[in-house]
Amino acid sequence: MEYILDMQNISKTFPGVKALDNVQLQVRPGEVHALMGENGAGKSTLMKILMGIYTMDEGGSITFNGQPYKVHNPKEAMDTGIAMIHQELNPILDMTVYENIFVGREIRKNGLVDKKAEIEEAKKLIAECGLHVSPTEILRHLTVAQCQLIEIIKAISVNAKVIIMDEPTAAITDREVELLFGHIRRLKEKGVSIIYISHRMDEIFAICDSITVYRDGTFIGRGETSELDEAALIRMMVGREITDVFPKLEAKIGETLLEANHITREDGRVKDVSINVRRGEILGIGGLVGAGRSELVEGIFGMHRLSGGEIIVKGKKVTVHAPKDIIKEGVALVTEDRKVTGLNLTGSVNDNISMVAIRKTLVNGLYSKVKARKLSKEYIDMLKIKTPSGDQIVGNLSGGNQQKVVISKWLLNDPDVIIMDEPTRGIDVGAKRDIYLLIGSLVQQGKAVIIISSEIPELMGVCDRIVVMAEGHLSGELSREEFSQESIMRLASDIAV
Amino acid sequence: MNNNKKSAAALISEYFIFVIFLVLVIVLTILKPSFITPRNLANILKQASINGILAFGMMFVIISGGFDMSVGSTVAFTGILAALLGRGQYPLIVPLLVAMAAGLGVGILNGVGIAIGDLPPFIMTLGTQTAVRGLALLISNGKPITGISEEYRMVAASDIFGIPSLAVFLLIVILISSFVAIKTVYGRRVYACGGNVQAAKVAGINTTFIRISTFAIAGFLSGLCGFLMTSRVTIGQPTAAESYELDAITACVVGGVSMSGGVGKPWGVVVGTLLITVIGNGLDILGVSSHWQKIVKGLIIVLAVLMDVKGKSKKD
Repeated sequence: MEYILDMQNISKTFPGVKALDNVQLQVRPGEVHALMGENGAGKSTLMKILMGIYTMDEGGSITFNGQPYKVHNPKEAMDTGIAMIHQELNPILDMTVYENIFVGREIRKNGLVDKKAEIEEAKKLIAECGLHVSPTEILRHLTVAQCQLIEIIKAISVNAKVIIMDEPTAAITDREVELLFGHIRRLKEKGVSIIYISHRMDEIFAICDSITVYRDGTFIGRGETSELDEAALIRMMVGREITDVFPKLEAKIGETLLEANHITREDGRVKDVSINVRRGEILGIGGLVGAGRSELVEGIFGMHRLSGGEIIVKGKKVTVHAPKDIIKEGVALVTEDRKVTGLNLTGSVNDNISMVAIRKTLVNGLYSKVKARKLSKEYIDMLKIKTPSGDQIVGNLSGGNQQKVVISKWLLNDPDVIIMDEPTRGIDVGAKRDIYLLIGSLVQQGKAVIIISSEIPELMGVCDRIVVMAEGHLSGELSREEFSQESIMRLASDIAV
Repeated sequence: MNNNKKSAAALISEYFIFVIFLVLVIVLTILKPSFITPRNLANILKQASINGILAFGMMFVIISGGFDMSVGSTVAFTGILAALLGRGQYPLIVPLLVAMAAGLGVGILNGVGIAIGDLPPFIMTLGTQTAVRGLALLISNGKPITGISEEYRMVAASDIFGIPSLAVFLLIVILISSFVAIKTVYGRRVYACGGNVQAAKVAGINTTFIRISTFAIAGFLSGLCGFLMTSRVTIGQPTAAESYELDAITACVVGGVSMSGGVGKPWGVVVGTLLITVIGNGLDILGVSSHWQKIVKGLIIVLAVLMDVKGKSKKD
């Protein structure tokens, strides 16, 4: 048996859309196989078919472990030997760690939940994973990264033959990525196969043995990682050459637009941080997860109470009690988690784009649907948002397109300073490039942009200047000539004594 | 370090209601020593029992992420059935089983409408609330059903070792419900379902079954309450138990069961039930008008939910 999993001629038609058109996927026993493609390429659809969430169209065949494979729900898939770590995290926040690990397959004794055994087993799994949390801790009290690792533990503990990992590293730190890779290698030794979905090239080349690429619901190719390089892979994914990953447009740098001095948050997560950004400038904020970068910009934006500091926008001191106070002055914040703080997911693209600058849609003081549609059309075209129409529900768009909707929402308000917190998280190469170009054109128009990113190459590629934070304080500042991975990492791990 | 602080805050909000309850008991005892007499305490237990049993059914529904507006009507409807069958023509077990089966039927109907029909719980149970009330009026012809047997009357009037038998029923329901909620796989899955229904589904839990079953439990216990209610008031009253669902919800919410699902402890529901009963009873023996009692009850609901919300937002 060459392949543990062999999917052939798989198609899936949704009303009006052919999400998958006659694609294939083969995974060998004990290998890590990357499934790549831009958002909307059909990767998630294929995985949902595999997990029994979707039914494929007639004519396809799936062979698993030498047997025809047919499942109707995730439980059957897991029982057969296929488990999945979902991109959208699925923790039950009000339950404990051990309860989450064993949800749906509780350890029983005399027909009742064997809490003791579950805690014991969970403790073992957590220790193996190098995580330091108590099995009885409530998930609500953990960080996103810790929750993600719990999800991974959950999938591993099912004893599956094939584990699907959909963007498993989206929210975890480099150190945790190393731990995860250690796990993946151990699983490989045990003969477990992994289907690895990620946008991060370095990870693909670090851990994967072979790669399958899809584009727009069709199969493009399959190859060994050793025979492919990054450029070839990108070409397969986007169908054209992307020579320049981080395009940087020239812009004239002018006077200071936003100045935040001695910002200290009441909860102590930001201590005496001063930053400023000038017209035409892109400022990067680097640092490790939890260094206080998001906390800083949320503090400036009035989402959290400050105990000290002053904010000056275009030379004018601004008192910020709530986001509306600083939005009025022409500052925008594209928040880190677009699903929670960026979008009304059940609203249409038009609704979302006119969310901030609702006044622009008024005719005689009343909301005009026609005007809103017209305004949002401009941004749909300008930012190349892939949507059937402005009336489409935002929740149905891909991550990259959702992010463009969030940005449009702010651009419609015509801000001078745009703060973007992890603007390219979880979106594909093509959409990332669109966003970098957009940022470039914004500063060319004389706006100022602040970018928070955990990807150091991204910061180095697009920024004019980088400030680095560590443990809530500012640990240093680098001009473009001083940029290097090492200098940024050194500042990021500058732990105060 | 941060975690400890959070759990301290959580701890305070968790036991807050218990502290309130104790303070209330002490204050009432000082104001009116007759409050603490065995007779009045027995009375409180009796008053608490029907609402308590309903609250435990409601607890399962709310924890699983639902909401049931129909239990009051179901109590009235099953109470009528029990009264019609409880005039001595059959052994007492017949009206009891019929009432519980009828309640179970209403509950399953609710559950199917919500879990399979995908109706919002509020709408579905509002519908059954209205229709089942109509059913109660229909089969009773709009009039009270009188003439239940002496044996049936004694179910609620008797006591066991000085404990009112109604309270014994409550105790049994508390014990079984707590056991199911805390110890069984089923109970765990009810929490998982309410905590994150998507996650529960992906974990292979039959969420449709879990959701239907919690409504079935609420309906079943409403049937039991219908049977007990008729015994207690000695007639089957089609207009009885009006807004009992709200008292049951209040007991849950006050006891720390989160309306967003996935959170709640059985002992909290016990305290919630007792607290509400004691407020009513205490204000009664202090001679405060029942109008005031409503205002106090309303304030307590809002206060309890406020604690719930604040406790959760502490995570930020």
